[in-house]
Amino acid sequence: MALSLLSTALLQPLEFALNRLLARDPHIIDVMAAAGAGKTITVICSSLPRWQLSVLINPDRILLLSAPQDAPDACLTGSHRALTQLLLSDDQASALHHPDIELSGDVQLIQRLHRALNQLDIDWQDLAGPLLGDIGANIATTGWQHSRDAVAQAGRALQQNITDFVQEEAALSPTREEVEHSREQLDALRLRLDRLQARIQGLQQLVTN
Amino acid sequence: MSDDQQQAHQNQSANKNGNSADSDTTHFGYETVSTRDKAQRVGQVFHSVANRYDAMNDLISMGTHRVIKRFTVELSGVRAGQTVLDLAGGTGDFSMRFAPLVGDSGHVVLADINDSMLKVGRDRLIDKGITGNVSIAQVNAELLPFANESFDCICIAYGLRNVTDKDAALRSMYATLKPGGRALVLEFSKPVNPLLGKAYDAWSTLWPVAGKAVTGDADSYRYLVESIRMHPDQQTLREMMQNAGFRDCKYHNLLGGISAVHVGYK
Repeated sequence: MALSLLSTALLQPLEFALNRLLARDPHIIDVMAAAGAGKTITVICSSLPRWQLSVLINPDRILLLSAPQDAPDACLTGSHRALTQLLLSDDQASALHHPDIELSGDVQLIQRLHRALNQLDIDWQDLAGPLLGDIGANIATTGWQHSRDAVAQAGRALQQNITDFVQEEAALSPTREEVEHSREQLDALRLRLDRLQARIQGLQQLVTN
Repeated sequence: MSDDQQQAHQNQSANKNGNSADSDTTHFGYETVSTRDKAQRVGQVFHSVANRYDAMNDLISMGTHRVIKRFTVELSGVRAGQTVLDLAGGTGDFSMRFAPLVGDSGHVVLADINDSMLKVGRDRLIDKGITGNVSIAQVNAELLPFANESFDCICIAYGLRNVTDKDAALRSMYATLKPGGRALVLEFSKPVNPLLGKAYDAWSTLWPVAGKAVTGDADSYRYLVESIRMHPDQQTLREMMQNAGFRDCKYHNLLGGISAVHVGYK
């Protein structure tokens, strides 16, 4: 419960900042309210460290709740990675259909909200301007973009390095080309066996007659 | 522990809900007083500290009461259009949080037995521009003057401890709650960790000194410390709520049990 109070304390400034941002562009909150005013969506992170928070959409602001809600309207469960993709991915259409994402309750509410947020063309730099100043907002948004690209690039490089090591250096698994070649050979062998079996059956029928 | 404290704890053991075995007497801190006198003496305590009540709360809780109150409001599940009773609401901390949640279509009643506290609460609400959906009522929690099944949620925060007949207050809350409604009782409780308990005891002995410095009244904060010690523990309060009729009663320990919020449904 100490953790609940801690997350309550942490969410308070986050909620304040979020609503300050939203107040700069009332259209965003209008769109969200139209999609689900008065509704509560609980987001649960299923991978370690586990956490959960609920989002209550009011007509004029968003509330972030750390206390467990007895009956949320909808629940979105997913791993850190899946939830991050949902938030940041450029391909939002497929992010909600990530295998690690599980939707329950009023699924249409989540889809409606997701669709509504995707259709918004949010200018984060403009929104953050009054809070951070023009230069600060520019540094923050470009810094965020650069770090996001750097993390994505690092992820791709790490994956490629691991693949190279496992396939080329340690030879623990075959390459994709080797797998494809073996599969083609297996298919050809299966075809020849089928033909051989058919010829044997034909010969058996001749002998029997 | 002094002889008075030992005697008080023995009395508490005899009747765990905090009322004395003799129905004409009850506790006022470690003192045993007649039930007729308790409300008056509690009233004097809050008349005395009303103006500096919030500052003292910040001081003795080191600001944590704000987070605890926010957490309690989150637990309430209050939504737009609902009716909420902020019982023993005093300076209006909870009403200020509930009012935006219920919106224009809902209503909050800020209720307290003490007019000094209500005046401070009313002024704070007006200063913050919260007026349209909040009413103010001076009520006795044991005999709530509302129609049965009036409220979607009733919240009593740091107030039940001061009520003379806690069981009557819980029954009255139950009666005025709508079916399916939710009652929240936020109150000081018993720390679950003995070490934390000792540290908390040591900290709370400083409260009368701080009370003297800030409000000029050490006795009120001495009563606060004593009344916390005499208040039923988590399990006992849960049983009292069940006895009053609430179902699915549960509690959340906050700050290791220094406070606890009990939730029960009608």
